[in-house]
Amino acid sequence: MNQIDVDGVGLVNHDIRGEGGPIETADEAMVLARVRAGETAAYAELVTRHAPMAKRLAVLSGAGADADDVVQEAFVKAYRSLSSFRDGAAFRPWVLRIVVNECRNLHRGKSRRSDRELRVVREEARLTTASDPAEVAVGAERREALLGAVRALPEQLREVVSCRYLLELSESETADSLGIPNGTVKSRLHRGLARLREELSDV
Amino acid sequence: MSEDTLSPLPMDPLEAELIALGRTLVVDPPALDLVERVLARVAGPDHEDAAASAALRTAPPSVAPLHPSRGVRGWPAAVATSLRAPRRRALAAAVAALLLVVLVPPVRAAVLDFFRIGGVTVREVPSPRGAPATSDPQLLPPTSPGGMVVGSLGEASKRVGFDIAAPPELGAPTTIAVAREGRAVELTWGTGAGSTRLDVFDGSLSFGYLKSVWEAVTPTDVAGNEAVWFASPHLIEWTDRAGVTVTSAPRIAGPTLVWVDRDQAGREITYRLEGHRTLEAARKIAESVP
Repeated sequence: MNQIDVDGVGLVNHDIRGEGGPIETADEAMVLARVRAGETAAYAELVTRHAPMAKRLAVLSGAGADADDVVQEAFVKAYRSLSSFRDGAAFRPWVLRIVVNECRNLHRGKSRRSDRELRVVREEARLTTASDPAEVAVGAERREALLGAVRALPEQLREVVSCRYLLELSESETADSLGIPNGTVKSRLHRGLARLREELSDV
Repeated sequence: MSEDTLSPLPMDPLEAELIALGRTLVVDPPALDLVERVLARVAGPDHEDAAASAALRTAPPSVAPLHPSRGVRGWPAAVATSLRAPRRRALAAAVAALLLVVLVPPVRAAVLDFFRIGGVTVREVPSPRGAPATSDPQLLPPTSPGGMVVGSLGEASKRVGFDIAAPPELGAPTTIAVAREGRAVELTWGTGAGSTRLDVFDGSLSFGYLKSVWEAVTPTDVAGNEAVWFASPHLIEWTDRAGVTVTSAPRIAGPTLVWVDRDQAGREITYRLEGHRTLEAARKIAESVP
């Protein structure tokens, strides 16, 4: 259930989507308009909406223990540059792009962060229904190997693979979030997948 | 977003595997205080933060120890370097907390640190710039309830598992809704401006309201039970007790009276009445609840 106050009028969205799911573009435009009109508190809605995805991206980008700082910084910077934000553009890829840049800055002069913020859930419910326990274990092992291979990718490839597959962003959202053309997303995905296949065949 | 979303059928098995992997990755939720920290920073004077970042930028680590053994020239740069983002923010937070302590008169501080009343957790946050003026609560009618509308108080009671009593002072509610995954009942009288909303929920549950206030609140009582009056607009959200799982976007609530009472079975029930401008009016309604 999503409740959104617009100029004091309560709108209740009765469809039952997952909480924190994608906000309607029209709703978001209204929230943005309120923020621009000086209603800082309305920004809380945008932060709450997009923070979980921003945090996932920060962690996947190797921010490690700094992920929360990166997310905070990204939302503050996004707010401060609201004036340069194009009307009608989606807020999410825009803030994700700042997250990506913050993570890149973090890496400068630092070695790759540890993965301790990120855990692989070993057995999903649907996997535990498999009759053969050995099969289940293989699934978990394979996932860990795959995650390791993704994290070992060069930054540019890792970013597109993370956005497109692990975060399930669309191709154009991936492009916007990384600040690269759609065509580049395609070619990097292609190279990324090829690289992963190579890595995994060695295992 | 339609033409280029991943189509389920002609997909490379590795792509499918990566998507499945993404869905099994667990990342801790964003920091509990993210929203308030962001609001505090964007609402606060820009220059403080800008000055801090500028100071950092003018002292890049590369100019650091020219004479590391002496360390004299290196000292300021080293200090600046050690104040990298996380610590810098921790410092800023410490300074903010200090200011808050200094600015809040002792009596208010005693009440306002961080407290709970029933299932409502209250914390003080810096005033967001552009927050609605205190003097005009009329601008903030309570929102309509979400959840599932039910026909009677009895039915609502059955669904949430505790007795719901409505204040007879207000007559029959316009809407009775069971919300928050069956944890709360939301009653409304009227719609839009001038409407009243009463939320009733079991305060001992793991979920409840988190209120972020930036103006004084008034401890009071309702028929001898503990109560708090929130005279000013404040942020309200429904979260788990740790404040970690936020299940809806925060909204701004108008003046609200919160009190706790026990139902016939001895359960602690939290009431939240929104829509009355004065404590006297709100208390009169509250005290009429049987």
